[in-house]
Amino acid sequence: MIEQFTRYGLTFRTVEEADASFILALRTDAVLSRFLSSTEPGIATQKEWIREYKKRENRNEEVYFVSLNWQGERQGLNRLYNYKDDCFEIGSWLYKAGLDISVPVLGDLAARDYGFERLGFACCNFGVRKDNLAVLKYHQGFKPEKTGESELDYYFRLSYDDYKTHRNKLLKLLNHV
Amino acid sequence: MYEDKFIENFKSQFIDGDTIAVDASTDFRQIESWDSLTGMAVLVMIKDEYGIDMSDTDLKKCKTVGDIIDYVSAKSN
Repeated sequence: MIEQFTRYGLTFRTVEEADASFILALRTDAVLSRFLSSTEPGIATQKEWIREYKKRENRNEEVYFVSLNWQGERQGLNRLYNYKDDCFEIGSWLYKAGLDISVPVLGDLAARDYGFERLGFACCNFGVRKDNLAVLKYHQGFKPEKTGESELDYYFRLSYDDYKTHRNKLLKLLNHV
Repeated sequence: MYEDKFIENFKSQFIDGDTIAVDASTDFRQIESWDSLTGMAVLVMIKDEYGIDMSDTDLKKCKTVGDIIDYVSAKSN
């Protein structure tokens, strides 16, 4: 099953095995991967991971999107998973270096819109590495509730109402209102 | 708007704001830690601190920190 939608000028479709090299390139990039959990190297391993993911996708447990620009070029990744009660978790937010500043942000907003508005969840959970300061600052703009921490990460929960307030502010600055 | 204060606000949007050197002539995209989220943070800072909606399109037209200061100053008047 391939889920696809377009939002904020980006097209999102669920990942396929053909995306393995793109995913691997992002997740093993020395700069981009600084704050990620480790990724097994090798295309074959990545394809196997995607095959297992597709099973979860078909059980409506998870969606992993690759975003494309209007020319169909892959821009980045967003994943929604851990659907529990009325919350989803968001992660695997990873975009190519050198894009316009709006692209990764719009990708994040579109993915969260999908979780809140398409899937109908009331809140979004996420974790951020404590030393990933730029991402931490970005997320804190939404004023999420801190729900815990580990040695490496802070954990947050964001309600749909709080999300919408800051989303609309960002969209205005990005000329998408 | 005071230039020194703006530069301090601008620097604070960088993860290494305490250590980078910035003045009005700085080509901010050449700062090593500049990235899309820093750019977004700068736009939010300008909105929150100065009440001005500077879009990413407007920011694209700026090359130096001084260009941003000029934009904010013009919109403030």
